[in-house]
Amino acid sequence: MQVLSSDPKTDPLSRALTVSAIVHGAVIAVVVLKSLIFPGKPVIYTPTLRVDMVGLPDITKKDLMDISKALPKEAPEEKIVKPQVKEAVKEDELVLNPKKKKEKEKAKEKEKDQLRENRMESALARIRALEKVREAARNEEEAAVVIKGNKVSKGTSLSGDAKEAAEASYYDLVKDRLIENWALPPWLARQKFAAQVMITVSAQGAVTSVKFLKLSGNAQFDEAIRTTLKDSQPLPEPPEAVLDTVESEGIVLGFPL
Amino acid sequence: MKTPHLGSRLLCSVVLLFSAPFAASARAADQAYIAVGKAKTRKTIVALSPFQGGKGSLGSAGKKALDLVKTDLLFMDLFTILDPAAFLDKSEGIAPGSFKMTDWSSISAEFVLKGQLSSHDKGLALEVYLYNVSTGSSVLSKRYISSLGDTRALGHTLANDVVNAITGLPGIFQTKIAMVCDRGGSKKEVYVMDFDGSNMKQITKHRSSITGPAWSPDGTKISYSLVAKNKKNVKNWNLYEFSFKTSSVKLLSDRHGINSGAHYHPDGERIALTMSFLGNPEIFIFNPKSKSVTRLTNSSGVDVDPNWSPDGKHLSFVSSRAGAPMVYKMDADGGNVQRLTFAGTYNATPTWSPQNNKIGFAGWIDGRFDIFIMNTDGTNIERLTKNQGNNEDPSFSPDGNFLVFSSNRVGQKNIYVMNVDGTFVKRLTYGMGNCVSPRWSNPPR
Repeated sequence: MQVLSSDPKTDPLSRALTVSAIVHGAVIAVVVLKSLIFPGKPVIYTPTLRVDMVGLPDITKKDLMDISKALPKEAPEEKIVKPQVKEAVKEDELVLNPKKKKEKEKAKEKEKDQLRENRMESALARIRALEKVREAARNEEEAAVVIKGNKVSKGTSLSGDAKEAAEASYYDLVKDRLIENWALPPWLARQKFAAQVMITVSAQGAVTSVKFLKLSGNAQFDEAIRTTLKDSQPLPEPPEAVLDTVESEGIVLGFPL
Repeated sequence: MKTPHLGSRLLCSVVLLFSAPFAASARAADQAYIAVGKAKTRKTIVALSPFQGGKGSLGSAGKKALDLVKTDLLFMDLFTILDPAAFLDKSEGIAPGSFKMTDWSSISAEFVLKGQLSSHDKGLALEVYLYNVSTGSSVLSKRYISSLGDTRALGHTLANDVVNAITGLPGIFQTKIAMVCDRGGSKKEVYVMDFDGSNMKQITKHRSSITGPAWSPDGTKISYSLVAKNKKNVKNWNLYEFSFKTSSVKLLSDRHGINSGAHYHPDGERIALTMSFLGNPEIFIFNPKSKSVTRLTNSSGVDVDPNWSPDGKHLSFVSSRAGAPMVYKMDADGGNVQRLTFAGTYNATPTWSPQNNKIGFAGWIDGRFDIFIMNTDGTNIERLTKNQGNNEDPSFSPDGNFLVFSSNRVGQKNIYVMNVDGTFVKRLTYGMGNCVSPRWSNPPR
């Protein structure tokens, strides 16, 4: 203080420093205040399209056809029960992450408070996580008991995700069966015909009705679709979860899309 | 957690409000949707039952015709022909109901051809039925009269009718391919052969260099360009037309510069071609009757190779207006110009599929030309040839199943045919020197 106050007006360096400090402070204040009072528009991330230098296709149509023929059929999707334990751990991490940031930013006292809080929170999270793990284990045990039987008992309703999975896997099976039988003579395949059909399916997998929602405009193409449906019967038996839908609402089939 | 801005909350509720009816309607159609995808291809199984009533010369003529039907059907690469040894039907009946259709369905035939021969003043009469085995109904019933010697015409005509009845597409067995060959020297003349390479005939005898032959839609005329000296004794690319009816040649246009790359409009009344009498090569429409011309393109680049769409409403062409030569299309009046190819460095000689669903062209790749096809909007480019020399100048068959092109894969340029999948390639010309610019005719009307 004494050094500064000795002759602040006469020392040009300290005067310049003071001015500089004031100006810097003012600029920072303005920027901070502006950002607090008028929050700017968020920078919107727009994904850009990457375009390669365009060249003509290198592989011949014949080779492409041969490759797709040679490829093994897609492996059936494995159904993975979401490990709930992971979720719990995530929660724990979420609590830990802000802690690291705050360590750098806040003053030491506040940091201590935060640490204490965080420790408590993560402890709580761990307890919650452990509870979830136990719950998951219990559920698994229950599920195992049910699955061991020959058939799933009627009283067990599936949770949303599982229901969707059951539907999806059934439709995959239907699609596989149709693909097996979906064939056209080459001259038809070379033209651009398309049709949409709605079918309803019985509990035994029989196609109970066929309705063309969109005709292709070519009788042979439409006939090939009917043949495909005929040859694909019986379709896989619809599981409980989708039976209502496929029996009454039906399934819409696109040939090819 | 930050709370969302009031504005974004408002926006959300507005969006929800407006999307609610759509969501409801989407739920109303709560069906599953399965896109089955692209079909496998499977050849159609055809049985050719030996003709009934064939004895002596009548029988051998009938057998020759039937053998030709088999050869023609196999050429298509669309059919499997059943071995007669497998036939169960021993009946003599050919008419509907006179034999058991199950004899054919049990050997997995999808179509069966049956015929009865009888003698006729002019040689033979052949009554045929083609049955769709699954429905049991006849899809073709016809009586043919032919001389005993001309079984080739009989066989091809019958094969055309069979293919047309099964596929709905025109048969190609009486179509021809025109091309330019330099057999026996450096002069390039127009030749014409059958679709399968047989019956090669020389058409022109100009002893000069001919380019760009083009069939009139009815197959009675071929136009072509040739280097000739004009009135001022200057070399010029003139447009000529050969008539099969009169076996005569007519000069169509000797305007200064280039008159080449002709392609007849499907109505036969107009010819699109490249002309350079105004300086820069541009695409014009030429009227053979009035000899008048209408200019279609006006660009700084070179515009060549016009090719009409089968409905005559559009033209594809090659232009260097953007630098590299690329395939473009425009309306028949020259409007609405659209660039179709952006890939590659040099795309030339577009050919429009008669089914109006594809455009074929030759593209420069790996230091040579290869054949490609794409949709008529330029999407979905597919490569058909590779590692087989230069492959140029594709031209569609009138049924859209084949492309004829020239290739130097064995040294000299020869004419080849392949199906539009790029499989089933067949060489058509032998010992004709270099053959280029093949053009497939329409079936005779």
